[in-house]
Amino acid sequence: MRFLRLVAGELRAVTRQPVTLIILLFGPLFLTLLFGGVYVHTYLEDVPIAVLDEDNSSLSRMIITQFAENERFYIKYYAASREELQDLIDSRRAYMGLYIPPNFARDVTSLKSSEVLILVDGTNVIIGNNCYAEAANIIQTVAAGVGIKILTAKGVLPPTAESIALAFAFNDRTLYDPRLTYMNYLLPGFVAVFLQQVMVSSLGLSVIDDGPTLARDNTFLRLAAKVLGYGFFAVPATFASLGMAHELFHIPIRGNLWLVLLLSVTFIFAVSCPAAIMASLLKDKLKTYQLSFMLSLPTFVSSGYVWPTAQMPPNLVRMIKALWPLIYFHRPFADVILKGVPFAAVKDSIAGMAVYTLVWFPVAVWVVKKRFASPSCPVPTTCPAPTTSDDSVSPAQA
Amino acid sequence: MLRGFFTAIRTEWQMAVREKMILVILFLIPVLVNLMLGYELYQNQIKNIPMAVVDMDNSSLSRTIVRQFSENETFAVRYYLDNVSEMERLFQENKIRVAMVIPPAFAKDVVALKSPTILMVYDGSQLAVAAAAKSRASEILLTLKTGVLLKQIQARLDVPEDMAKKMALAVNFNYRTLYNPTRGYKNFLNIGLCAALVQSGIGLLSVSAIRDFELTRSKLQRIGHVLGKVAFYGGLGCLSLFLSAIMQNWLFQVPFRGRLGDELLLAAALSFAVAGLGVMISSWLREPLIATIVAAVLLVPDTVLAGYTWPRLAMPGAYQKAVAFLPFTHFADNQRDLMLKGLTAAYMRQDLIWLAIFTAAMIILAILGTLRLKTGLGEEKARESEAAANEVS
Repeated sequence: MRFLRLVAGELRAVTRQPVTLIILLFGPLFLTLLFGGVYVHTYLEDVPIAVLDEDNSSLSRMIITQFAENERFYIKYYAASREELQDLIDSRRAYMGLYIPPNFARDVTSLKSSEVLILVDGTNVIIGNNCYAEAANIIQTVAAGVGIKILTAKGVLPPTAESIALAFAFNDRTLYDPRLTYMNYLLPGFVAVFLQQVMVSSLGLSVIDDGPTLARDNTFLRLAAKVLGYGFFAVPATFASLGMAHELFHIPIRGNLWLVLLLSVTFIFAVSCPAAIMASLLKDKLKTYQLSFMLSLPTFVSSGYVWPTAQMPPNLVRMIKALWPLIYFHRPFADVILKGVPFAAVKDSIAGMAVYTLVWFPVAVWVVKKRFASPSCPVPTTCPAPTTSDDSVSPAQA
Repeated sequence: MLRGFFTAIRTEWQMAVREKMILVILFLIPVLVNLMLGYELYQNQIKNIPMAVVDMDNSSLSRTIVRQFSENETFAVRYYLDNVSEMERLFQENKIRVAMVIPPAFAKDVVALKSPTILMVYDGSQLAVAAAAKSRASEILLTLKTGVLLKQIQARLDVPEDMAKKMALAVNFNYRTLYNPTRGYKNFLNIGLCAALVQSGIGLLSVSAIRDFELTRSKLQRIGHVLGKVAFYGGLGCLSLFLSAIMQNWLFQVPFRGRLGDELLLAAALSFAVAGLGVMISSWLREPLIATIVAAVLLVPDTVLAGYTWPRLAMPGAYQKAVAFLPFTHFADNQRDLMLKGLTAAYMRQDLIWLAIFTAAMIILAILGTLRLKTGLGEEKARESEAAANEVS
């Protein structure tokens, strides 16, 4: 009963702080909209490329036409020399170069194995991979066509030549996100980080505001009530962000939303531990904000979302798991949404967050008590309560 | 003005030494994140992707195909299945990320010129893994296909192997990936992520740099304060950016092909631009927490917004125009190109000029912001602020 009263007090406190309320409710929605807009074009199209055709035959022109007609590429430059082609890529004016050597068509006909050179700028892996994959598709088609013509010229019947050239085919089937879009890949992960950020910054500030009250008595209950109070606003805002991502950006939601809720609630408890510790150690709102924003990028890139944990050194994964809980939450959260994975697939992550909370929550309680204990009363439990009408009311609530 | 300039630098430095937060944010966190990222991405490429194989043919050709995958370091063939229903369960449970299904009578159909089809199945929920698997699987299967084609030509046309090879590879394409040949993530991501973190630090600190008591000084002193703050945060930020680039190169072998002088120039251009932006916000938004949120929204998401990963050319037009006003947009690709391509400052001239103009504009706005507030500040507030600063110094 007392716990529920504390939670109700926290809810009232949040509603009396307009800035905190705006951050908790509208922060995730605004950021989802901002980030979603970046990926609204599903594919990378019209990548500027450069061509150097030193053959100028019907075959070389046919190859160039294939690239010109492909929506991924935009032939922006026709270079006059290999040096110019290289310079166009060096200076980032073209992301790919296509070089067709002199006598290319003649060499192909006389089976001299002439070589077309494709230069891809690999500095931006996303652009490089897209160019490479699409160029490979075009080239396979061109090479198969030329192969069939050569076989036909050698007296093989056209249908047989086609079957020989094809040999065997391979088809791709991509599950969960057949178009392999960055929108579907990244946006659910961003939403998870927004939940982390609004919880860490808002809860941190609240701990500083209410530190002495928290430290006075029932610190464990008061802190848990605070987490629930702030989570009461942050978690629905996360769901609203997912709804918006689904409606506006067509992010598929395949999983059980109760499971998403379970993951989110477990996570807010887990992430509140470092938030409370950080705020108690700093005891300064501005510094807490600064540090929480500084941690958003490192925690995002170390959570196994962009670079899978299976590819990281195991010692690093163990260290991250011990220090920051996003790694338990990030990928499972997206997996439930995008793949619809069952409870069994995420139960270890939930257990991981529970263990993390069991270890770090008492530490957070201890740090809060230690840092906010009154100088005149170093052992808060033995001190008289301040003269307020309701001992559950914190300064922020008051 | 000069007195104000040096006073501002001295005050900020004393605060940095005493409270440590400036040093933590500008140096300690970036250094730790540099180490973490370098270690995290040490593999550079995605390897050992868990894979399942459903070989319904079990011929020598199908076994050769499976062997090619199991011997390739990109894949780790962990499951040999009898049917596809089990494969779907493994995908659902995240136990595999790629699967290959070879149909029954595959080898016979190849010989009979029936062009059978191998099915490759990918888990699309992890794009980086799926893209790496797709690209490598295509390479393996194309090589195998060329081998099969070669044998078919030899058998059908009764020609020697070298002639068959010339016919099979009549049009030969040579791919060359420049500057980052393995298309590794370490080279791709670390440079920009570490720089973005430093830029966030500069912004988050400078955004609360103008203190209330400084607004009660003479106009010239206030101008000096603004310039001193920009110089202080810009200078330290530049040093931190430079340190980041050097660390990535020395400790994690991210190539550094450019000139150190150009690196310093580019780092200074970004650093002073962001410090100018921060001080400008600080002079107009006098509530530090609100100002910090504004700086965080403008600077923290820049690796996404400024086109460092998902390129600007793929963003909607409105975004392309808006992000052109972010300093990081004029820095990030140049920084990567400087390190990976060895691009010189001459190629970045336009962006460097843009950053210099941006810095000047921000300083002017910051000066206007501090000059406008002379009468608006309560004396009590100013005294409190000065007392706090004196306590520090």
